[in-house]
Amino acid sequence: MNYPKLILIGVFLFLISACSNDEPTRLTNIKGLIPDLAFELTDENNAAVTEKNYSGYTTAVFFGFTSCPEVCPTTMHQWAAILKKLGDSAALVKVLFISVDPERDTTDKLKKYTALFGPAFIGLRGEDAVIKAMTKRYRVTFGYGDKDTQGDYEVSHSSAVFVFDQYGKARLLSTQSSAPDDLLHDLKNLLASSR
Amino acid sequence: MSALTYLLPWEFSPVLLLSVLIIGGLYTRAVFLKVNKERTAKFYWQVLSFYLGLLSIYIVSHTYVDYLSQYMFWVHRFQHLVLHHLGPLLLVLGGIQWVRQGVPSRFPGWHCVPVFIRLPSELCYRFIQHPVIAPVVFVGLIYMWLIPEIHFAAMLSKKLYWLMNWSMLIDGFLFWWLVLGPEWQGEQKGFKTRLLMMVVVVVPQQLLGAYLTLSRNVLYDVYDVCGRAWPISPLSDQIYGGVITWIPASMMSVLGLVLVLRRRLIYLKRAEHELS
Repeated sequence: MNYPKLILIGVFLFLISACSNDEPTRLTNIKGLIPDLAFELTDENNAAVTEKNYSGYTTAVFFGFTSCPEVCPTTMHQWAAILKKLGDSAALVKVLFISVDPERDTTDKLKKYTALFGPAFIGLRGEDAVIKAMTKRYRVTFGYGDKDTQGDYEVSHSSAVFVFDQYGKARLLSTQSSAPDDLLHDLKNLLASSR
Repeated sequence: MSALTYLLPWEFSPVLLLSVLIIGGLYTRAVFLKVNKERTAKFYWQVLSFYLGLLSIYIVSHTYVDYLSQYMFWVHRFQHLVLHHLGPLLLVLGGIQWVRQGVPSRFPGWHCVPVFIRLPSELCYRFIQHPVIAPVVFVGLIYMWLIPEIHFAAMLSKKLYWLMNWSMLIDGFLFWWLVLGPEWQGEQKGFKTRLLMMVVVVVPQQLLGAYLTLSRNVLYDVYDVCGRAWPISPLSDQIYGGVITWIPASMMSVLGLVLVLRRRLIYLKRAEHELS
């Protein structure tokens, strides 16, 4: 290995370390990489909500859509199972399901959908431009495929769950490939540290 | 979506905008100063090449293409092809050194910069432009930003993304400047070295491109994590990206090789002409 490469890697590690914190996490630690939780959306009961409505809770934010065949239900089921394992402290967690398909996802539809997974799950929606701005803030995106004869279309979206602590600071990133045990381990630590 | 969505920057960068305006402005001034003296076809080709280079860099960094590059692996590979290969090469062929002649004479020259800034800068420049170091950095940077863990962080963090693209652009420029810049005009001044440098950078790029294209696993899950710009299978995305790294990128390096050979040919012809 040569010097420039070493220097570059050094610079890189420095930048990374400046963003990460001391306690080791099993999942990807995104402290400092992603901005704090902030939004103005409509919840599944048609009420206007902001991040302040969930302050004090550890929140898991997911960008999905209710007609999603695979990624969304799998992820939501995974989180429902994790919350069961957390026991009492699960009351301090809210899972925010933010629709990236507001055209098809009405508040009613979102309410029915999140009810499948439990009371901690809340569906949120907003105008297309609002959702676009919000996904940009978290460096994720979504896009639509062409409509078929029935008017259905595919949606590409983020498969990640961003976990924010009780102060709305970004902490963890879990993906479909994250092991449930790791997720449980990190969530327990996060909840314990926020007491 | 309106046309404006495609033209406006996804993330506004004052640094990029100012750099493009200043370099483009100074170059244009120099061209106007020169235009009456040099009316050769070569001059006009060079001017065209410069503006194309500058425009291509601007388009991939400061329009909708930048958005797509963040959410599609193959567009990202295309962006780096322009930032690291095509754009800087066109700038160097376009005679970017004229920018210096475009600087109004009332501005102080490089020799007026304080020694404590000038000396370290010159040393760094000489180090990175060493014929052994330069190709290693050129290929090393491509490899480094494609290490899956590093790539993940670079795509997720705005700061690292910025660092990645600037490092590619600056390194691309330094490399092509070294290989095809105006400082080198003859055989004595390192024709063989330059030829070797070009050969050395082609092979690792082809290996990398082939690896990306032929890999059966999805190597970069950050595009699943962050979502893609439109629905496309992860593996197709990776294959397109691999092909872009494999064929056009290494083709550009072969083109560089041909340009080095051509420059030598012209030099030899001129030398022969002077002898006879």
